[in-house]
Amino acid sequence: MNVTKTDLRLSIKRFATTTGFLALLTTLNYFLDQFIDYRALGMIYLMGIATVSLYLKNYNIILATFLGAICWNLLFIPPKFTLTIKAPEDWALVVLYLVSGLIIGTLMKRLKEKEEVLRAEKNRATQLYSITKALSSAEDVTSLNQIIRGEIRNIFKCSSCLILHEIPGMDFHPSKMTRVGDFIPEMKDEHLVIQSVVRRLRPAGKFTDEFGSSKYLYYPLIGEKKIIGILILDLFSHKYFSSDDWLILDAMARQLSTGLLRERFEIDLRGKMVNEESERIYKTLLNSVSHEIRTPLSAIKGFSSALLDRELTNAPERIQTIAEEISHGVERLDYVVQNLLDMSRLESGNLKLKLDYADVVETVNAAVKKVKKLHAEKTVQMHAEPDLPLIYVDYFLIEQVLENIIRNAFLYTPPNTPLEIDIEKEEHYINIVITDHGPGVQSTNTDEIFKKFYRQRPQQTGGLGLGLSICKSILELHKGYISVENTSPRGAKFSLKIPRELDRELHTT
Amino acid sequence: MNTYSRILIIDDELQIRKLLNISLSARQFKVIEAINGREAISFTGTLKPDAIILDLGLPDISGLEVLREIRTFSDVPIIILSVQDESEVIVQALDIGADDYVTKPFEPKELAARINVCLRRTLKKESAEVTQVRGIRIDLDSRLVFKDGQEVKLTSTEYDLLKFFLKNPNKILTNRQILKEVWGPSSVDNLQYPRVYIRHLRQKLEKNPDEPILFITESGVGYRFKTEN
Repeated sequence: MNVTKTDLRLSIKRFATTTGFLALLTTLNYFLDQFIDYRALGMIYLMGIATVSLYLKNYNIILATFLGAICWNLLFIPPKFTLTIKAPEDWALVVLYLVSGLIIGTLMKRLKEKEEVLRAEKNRATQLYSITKALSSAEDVTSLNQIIRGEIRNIFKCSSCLILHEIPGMDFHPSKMTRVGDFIPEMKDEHLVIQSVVRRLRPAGKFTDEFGSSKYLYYPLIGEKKIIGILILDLFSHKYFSSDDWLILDAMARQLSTGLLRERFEIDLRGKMVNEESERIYKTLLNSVSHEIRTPLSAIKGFSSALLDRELTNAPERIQTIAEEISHGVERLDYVVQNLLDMSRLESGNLKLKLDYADVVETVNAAVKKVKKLHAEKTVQMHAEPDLPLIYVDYFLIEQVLENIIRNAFLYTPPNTPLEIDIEKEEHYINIVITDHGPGVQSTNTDEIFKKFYRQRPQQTGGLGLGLSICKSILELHKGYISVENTSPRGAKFSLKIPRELDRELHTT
Repeated sequence: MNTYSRILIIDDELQIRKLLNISLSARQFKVIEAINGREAISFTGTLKPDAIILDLGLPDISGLEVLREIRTFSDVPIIILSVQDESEVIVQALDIGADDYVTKPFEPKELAARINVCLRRTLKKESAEVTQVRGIRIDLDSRLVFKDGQEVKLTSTEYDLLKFFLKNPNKILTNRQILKEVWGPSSVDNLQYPRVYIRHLRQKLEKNPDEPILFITESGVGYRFKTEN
């Protein structure tokens, strides 16, 4: 309704302008009539028409041409104040005038049309540019949807919503659809419209030949020849939808589809990368678990079948050796299993500290003794500051931390180099410093070695790469910390700081 | 026969070396130990062991590298003893020239038996080719094959394949090795050939082709021609 009213008002305005302009020209001619020939006045009318046609529409030009002819004939061509023309050359002039006027009108009309097409094209280009620019700033599907709906509101002055399909190419089914947007279409048989769009991959609803009576326009979003969503426009108050509108809508739909596809692709890629990474970790873990479990298992299996072998058990001292080896194998296996269990307990947050007072030196000694069972050839030099206070810790876990560090140091150090353990007291911590003379930490970032599954030269030492990361977690649970630095000329220095006074709250958590 | 055979054990795990030492010494082998790849290569050259037991996960160079290096100067029987049980690794080791493959955990008795098979094979290589085994006799001059005294007709490919197996009794032969020897180096990728022709041989020579006792499949790796139970 509004649209026609404005149109009418505009027509009246233009009509008034045309007549007003001609009145002005006639007044000018009336004045000029005293000085120049009446025939030349026709030329002035023609000039006026040419000027007017720059601004006015086709029928106004025709109107102006005829009005000009009438005024000219009535006021200036003799006999004056009549619509009759006496002289045959005047007839010719009037006819020439009309023909020229109409030709100017037609030419102008064509020019105008061309100009309008150009302007529309420019408009469309600007709009598309603004859409593309807006879309390229979208970081995810949600903001993409918002931007598109904002642009639709700007360009088509209507609200819109989107149906997105989770699995492209499959049948659109309510359970597999997500809707986003300003509204939910109130339509009884909406699924029929959707089906039609999905089947034909063409728009349906208002301004189309399918379900044209609907209030909404359903536009398919197509990516890689498959439907990935539907854009719905609420066009209830729209009277028409121009070919330009279709073009812009199509461009928007394409942009949106590309955006959605890109997003989907990125999600896939991210998922794939995560999968590859976790597969790599899983494989590494599996390899080391299999090595760490199978080696002691081989020993246990081999030595126990040796026990059953009459040829081997005829010497009693050999039985002793075999039994010891089986026990070592079991200890190694137990260590691996313990590490795996600790890790999963630490990860799940189920590890509760059983805090009690313990003597630091005694704890370190116990750990050394345990590790030396498997590395009898190694030596340890221990220096403890006198009068060390008791520590309030989970004895079992701290002993395990020490065991891990010492075992680690033994594995990496060449034979005949002693391991040095110094225990000092600081203001807030008891500091246990374990120095070896091995190759040191090779990674530039020494903290790397506390990461899960980190192994320096994995082929050489085996192991799960869990030990140090478990140590770090256990010390952190005690509000302490662990650090490592390289010493010169060679070696690694581990520093374990255990708080002297553990907060009461830790006891309860 | 193996009273004085010297076995070189290459393993970085002290416990495994101890185990091998105890179980092999008791079976009249003389054991030499190496704890890394470099030692292994130099011991092979200087001490000339009769057989080698090689772990693949060594601290300095990989076991496969050690194997390759040793094969450049020695034909000594090498048995791989490793925790790795993926068929690709096994095939790779055998293709490089390992004689057998035993995965950890293992049965020391079984390992000793495998060592004996390898040692016997080297002895026989130096004497004559096997021409008679488990009821099958092969006449190399007339290219005739007999099963329990009855002549069996073999195509020339089947005959070549059988001959290759008889040359390498009790040894795992990978598909590539079989293809290279019987069909020629350009056919090494036609993995279906051995399967088809070994089925033919089983049908002609096995008592029960569905439960073969001569031509044994080593799954994912290749085949083994068993001359004894």
